[in-house]
Amino acid sequence: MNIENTKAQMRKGILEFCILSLLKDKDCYTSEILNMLKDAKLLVVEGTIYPLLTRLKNDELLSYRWEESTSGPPRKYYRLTDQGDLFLKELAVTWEELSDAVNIITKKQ
Amino acid sequence: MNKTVTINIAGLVFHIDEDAYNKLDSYINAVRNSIQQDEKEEIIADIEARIAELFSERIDSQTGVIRMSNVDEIINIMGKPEDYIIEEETFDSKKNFQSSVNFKQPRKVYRDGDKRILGGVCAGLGHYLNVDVVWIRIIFVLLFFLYGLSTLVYFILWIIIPKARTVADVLEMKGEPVNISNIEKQFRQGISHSYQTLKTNGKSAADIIRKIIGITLIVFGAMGTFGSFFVPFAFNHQHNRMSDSMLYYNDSIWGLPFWTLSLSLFLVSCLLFVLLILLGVKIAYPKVKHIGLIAIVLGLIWAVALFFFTYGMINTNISQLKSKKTISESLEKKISQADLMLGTNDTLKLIFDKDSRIFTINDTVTNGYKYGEIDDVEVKILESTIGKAYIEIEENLFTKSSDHYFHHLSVLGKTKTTVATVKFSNTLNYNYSIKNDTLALSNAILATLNEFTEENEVKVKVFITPEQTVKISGRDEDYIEDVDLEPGTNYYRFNRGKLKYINNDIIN
Repeated sequence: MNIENTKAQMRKGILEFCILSLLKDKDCYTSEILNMLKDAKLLVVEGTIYPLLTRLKNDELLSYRWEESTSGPPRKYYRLTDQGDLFLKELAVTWEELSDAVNIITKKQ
Repeated sequence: MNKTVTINIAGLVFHIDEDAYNKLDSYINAVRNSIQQDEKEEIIADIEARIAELFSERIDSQTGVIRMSNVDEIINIMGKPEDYIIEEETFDSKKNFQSSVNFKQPRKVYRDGDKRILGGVCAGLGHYLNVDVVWIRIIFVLLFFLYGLSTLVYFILWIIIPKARTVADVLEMKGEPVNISNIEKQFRQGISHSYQTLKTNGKSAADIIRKIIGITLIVFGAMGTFGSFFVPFAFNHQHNRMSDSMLYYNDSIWGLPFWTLSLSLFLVSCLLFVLLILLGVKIAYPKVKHIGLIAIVLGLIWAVALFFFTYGMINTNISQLKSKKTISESLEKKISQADLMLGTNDTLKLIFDKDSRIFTINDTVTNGYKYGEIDDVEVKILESTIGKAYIEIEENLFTKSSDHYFHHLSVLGKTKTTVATVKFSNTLNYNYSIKNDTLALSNAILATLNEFTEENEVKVKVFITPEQTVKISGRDEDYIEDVDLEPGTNYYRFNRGKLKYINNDIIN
């Protein structure tokens, strides 16, 4: 059993929830999302994020717009849709329950 | 030293070392293969945009060039191609992950430049069929003995199978998944290195083969060109032989002399071989310039010559097929008389000479003579009823004239008719001379040498009065009709309408 794999799988599971949470208050472009996730040490490699963002967009939880950048290629700004907002609220509830559950179980031992 | 290429990622332009570019390209291809969603290109565009962003942050401000280390760093940040895989079912993730790594991808056919002898076709097929390349080569060698089949098959495969140019191609060829670990493995094995050097390496087996093919073509072309010089001669020879058809070949039929037909035939034959030489030069020495232009010009000349020759030959044949002959034959009778200078009781000395003209007329026609002796002269001695001696010569000259009406196409496709008239006649006047009491007759009749020569005839009649005597040598017996000459000198005189031999003494 590869410990790195397990860690990656655990992170991947909550990645969607975290991305949606980041976009709750303000629109972000891809690199901003990446930087915040990396600062939080939730993301080790960037590659994972791109298919994920596309999937969220396809599920109509996110939408995006292009904005010119002064220092590089045009940036894709992602925004939470109404549907995404609902989705996030449900996830947040689930997360609360999960984290409580995990806390209870791990503290027992 | 490193070659640099210019690339455009997400609208930004970068200079990047070639090896670094190859790795980046392989990486992006590997990522593309990992992504299992439908929006592959959209995701790749996002990834490329991010790479561009990362590059512009990291670019060496002094050189402005992206290096291998930069690419390695980017790949570290972005993650392995496997990291791009997102699973719909997290529980199955491990299984999926494993399968995506170990699953043998369907192989693709590429030519393997690494193991090649010629074009790497056999090696490529070996990878595809997962058979040792040696067996494929043995099959190809065996097939060669089947009418050289494998040569054709090999060259076709060489053309249609693409060469494995990138590391990703090599992996696909070997049926290994295109992921970063495999790519790095390939790099470590130095395979990609050989791919980069292939292009710049001058002498390869293909080059040598090309030289051999090219030079062979040049040699064959040169021999053919040389041989083409004999074509017009053969054609001209045939022209002389085509007695009935080409004999009436008339320059006026299409206004151009016969040699133009020969020249066009020569060009038709020769230019093809010259083009073969040019093709050979082009194959053997690809750097020689203007060959295409020369070939086009020569090709046009060839087409014109071919048209010209075809046109000429069709015309000749049409005129043969459609020609009409009108022939008229006649015997032209020509009678001439001349007085003999002879006194009332004189003796006519009749002698026969060779016609001097037969030795002087050395004309161009067969055997050096245009005229020939066709017959011995037959002389009749007759009684003159008008009181004086004279000679009468009746020449029956055979004349044949034929008119040929040739129908042929003009350049505009209209039919034109030309008439060629051929006439046979030309018998020489019968030669004789009268000098005092001597009549010298030619001992032969001369006529133009042709198929009608024998039709000509000449009758010579010598008239003398009963008072006159004719003196004939016994040697000339053959020329005189109705008289039996004695050896030695003979004297004859008419007695009551009949020619009588008389004694020499009586006269004197």
